[in-house]
Amino acid sequence: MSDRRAYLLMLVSVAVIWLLAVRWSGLPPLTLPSPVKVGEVLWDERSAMLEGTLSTLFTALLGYALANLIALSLAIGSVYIRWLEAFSTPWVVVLKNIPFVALASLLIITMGSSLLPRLIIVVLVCFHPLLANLNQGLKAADRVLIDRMRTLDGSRWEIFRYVLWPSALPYYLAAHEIAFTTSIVGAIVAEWFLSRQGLGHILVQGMTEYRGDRIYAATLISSVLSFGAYWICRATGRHLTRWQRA
Amino acid sequence: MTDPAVRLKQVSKRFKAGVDILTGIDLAVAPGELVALVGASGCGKTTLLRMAAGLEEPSEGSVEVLGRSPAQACALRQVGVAFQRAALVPSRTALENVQLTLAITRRTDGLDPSQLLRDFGLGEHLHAYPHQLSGGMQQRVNIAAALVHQPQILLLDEPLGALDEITRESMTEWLAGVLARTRPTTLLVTHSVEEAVVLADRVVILSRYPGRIAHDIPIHLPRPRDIWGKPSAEFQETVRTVRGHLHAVLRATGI
Ligand SMILES: Nc1ncnc2c1ncn2[C@@H]1O[C@H](COP(=O)(O)OP(=O)(O)O)[C@@H](O)[C@H]1O
Ligand SMILES: [Mg+2]
Repeated sequence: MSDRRAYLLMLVSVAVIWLLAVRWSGLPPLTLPSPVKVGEVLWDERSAMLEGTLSTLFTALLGYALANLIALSLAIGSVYIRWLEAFSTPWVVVLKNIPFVALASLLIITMGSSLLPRLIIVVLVCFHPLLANLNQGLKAADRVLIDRMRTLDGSRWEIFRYVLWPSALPYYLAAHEIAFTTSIVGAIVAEWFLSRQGLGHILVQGMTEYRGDRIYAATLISSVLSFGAYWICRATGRHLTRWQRA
Repeated sequence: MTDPAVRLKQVSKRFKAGVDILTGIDLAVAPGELVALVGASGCGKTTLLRMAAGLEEPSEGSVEVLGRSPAQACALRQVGVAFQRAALVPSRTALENVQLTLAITRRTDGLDPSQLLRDFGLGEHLHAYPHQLSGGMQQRVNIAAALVHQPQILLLDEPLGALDEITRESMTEWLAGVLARTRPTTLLVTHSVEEAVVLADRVVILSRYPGRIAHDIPIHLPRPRDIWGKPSAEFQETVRTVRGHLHAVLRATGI
């Protein structure tokens, strides 16, 4: 089965299961609205939904950019500054392993519901795969090739550009497939905890006001965003590494 | 006699205190000369070559390349190296890999990369990525990348060592042709006595534990030395002599 057909089948199945569930589960429309109702909410409240989506995207993208900046600086810095990796590893490991909910709660009580704590949460949830893969990719660089470049009197920059970076790139691209999606999930969770805006906030409101239709609408949007993020990374990644399949 | 292009004076190398890998190495390679280094595995051939390339420092003694330190010779863009495993950028084509040498050395008087690859029998594969090429082809690209900038010094560490026997034989002949045309000063590490005798002006045999120069045998056979066609009695005799010396050295160090 081709990729495309498998996805199509999945989408159709979800719609069918949904319709069947509405029909046979006996759940009230409050908790399980029909697709039509969800469609209506999406349309009727389109400006609120759009605003929420943009707000979530903004947090996710900004946080993701920051996460990349940090991961790239640490990984590339570690190549040239010997102590940097040894110094940063304990921090990275501890931060990665603090239970996320605890950290989020801590951020709320110290910083309130501004943008900064949300960004921090996004960075924390998505920077680790980026860093880990970058480190791995840089370390996988061909030592023999580096030696050959040195005998040609290649500069550090040339060695980075022609050997280290091409070696790290496939690993980095693979990390995006995981981390970009995670950044959107992270943004929504952060809003869920501490925000008056975004898809996360729409979800919280939907829960307190028993608006199943809104929850479904927000869920639908966030799924599309996440999938879109994954798809963009994958397509870009495959384009940049197309030589591997030549 | 002109100054040697590569000269090692009383060179010793150890990675751990007390364990000399190489000791008391005196070796001078004249400009345009091709010296083959043979010896048991682990005797320090690669280490010797890496010192000549400036990739390792000798523990004692000195290494001079073109009358300078190896690093300075590299900075003059006069050194080309090829190791046993082809070291190519996997995301660049054969042609781009060879061009990369010129880009990095900024040499404008180098050979034409596509012409060079054509001469190397890779005309059909200029735009192939390394993973699309056989081991023999990759190694040809690797060697092309090592000599496209026409370095005065060529360091080859078992460049044919990873290849199967048949590819290896045809590649030896091919390499002899290439080197006869460009004539760089060459240090060639090999574990094949035939390969050494076909290619070299001198064969240097290293002993082990610690590595010393046990024999230094000039090869006076006329070129080209076609061996797989019809090896001359003279050629076979030379191979026998070198092999005899090598085995005596190996026995003496208990292999
Ligand atoms: N960087 C290094 N650190 C420690 N030991 C090394 C290093 N490089 C080589 N050696 C040791 O030096 C010896 C000679 O190695 P090498 O020069 O590769 O031998 P050869 O090429 O003749 O097989 C081996 O025992 C090897 O383990
Ligand atoms: Mg070796």
